Amino acid sequence: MNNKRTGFDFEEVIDLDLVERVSNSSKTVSYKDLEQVAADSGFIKRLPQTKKSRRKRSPYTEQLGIKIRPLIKDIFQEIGEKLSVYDHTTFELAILALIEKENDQELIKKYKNATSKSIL
Amino acid sequence: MSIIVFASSKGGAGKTTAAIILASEFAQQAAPKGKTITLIDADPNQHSAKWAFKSGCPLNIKVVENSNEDSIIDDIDNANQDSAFVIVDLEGTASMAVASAISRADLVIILCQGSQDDADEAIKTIKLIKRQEKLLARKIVYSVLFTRTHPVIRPRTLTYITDEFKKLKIEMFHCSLIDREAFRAMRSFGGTIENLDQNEVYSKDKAIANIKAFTEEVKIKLLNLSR
Repeated sequence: MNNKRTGFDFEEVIDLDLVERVSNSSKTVSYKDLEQVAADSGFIKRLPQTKKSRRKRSPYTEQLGIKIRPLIKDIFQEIGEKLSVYDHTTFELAILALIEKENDQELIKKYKNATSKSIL
Repeated sequence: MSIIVFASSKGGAGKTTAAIILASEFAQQAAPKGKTITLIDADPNQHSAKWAFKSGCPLNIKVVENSNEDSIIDDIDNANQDSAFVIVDLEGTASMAVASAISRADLVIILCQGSQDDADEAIKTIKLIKRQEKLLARKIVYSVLFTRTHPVIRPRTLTYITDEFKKLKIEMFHCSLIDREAFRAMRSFGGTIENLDQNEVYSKDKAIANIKAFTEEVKIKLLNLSR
């Protein structure tokens, strides 16, 4: 069995001072150029470059299921279409119109408080 | 003053083991001269930093933890101001950190096990070096170090890879890092291989001989650079 495969003279230890050297001076290149060369060789940036955007959550989370007269649903959706808003907004606007008509200050305040919470 | 980068775009090739072996050997030789070695750990797993913070690590090893692709060039340049040798241990991935470190290197040691996958990744790193040489208008010296080799058996795959590398004129170390329990023990206990308990570690003397062979060959490569 030959255990001298590495075939190195261990006795001849080179003085570290001899191999300590002043660094090579190389052409100054931009990081962008370096990045391009790296990318061409398949070496890419791994650190995330942008902050993770938080998914927006809808404030419309409560469900309301009510029975209504025939055709009222059509009228409801038609007014929503005219206003170019979704059904939940049509419903909220209808509620607001009603409590404003009734001039119920307490409910108006409650409504404003409930709808002021913008998208989280 | 001399920047030695351990690179491989594949994990588990033996970068950290080779880096801490070289750092500990150089540190022991540089200590009587009052010189320091900086070990930059740019692997998010921070294994070389963990080794350095265990007891028994030579006191003249300065550790730079958590270096990453944004900070590595500055970390190397800062370390180069006051250390005789800067040793960079990189993450086993094809990242910008590898490319940035190589752009500053005096010597790139590419770790490779005797497998086709490792050899493919070594070639990938060499291609990057060649492209950077053109960009930087300077020669970047590199050499492939085979790791986790068997002390006795030389598998056919390893022979095939070395033969192919020779044909391609790829620079290789004559020695290899043999798969030895002593190297794992060094990582586990901390400190230098010389300080490991002989009773705890099998074939410590052979591991020391392997380390000396590797260290001396690195020095020869650096010596050739300064000529």
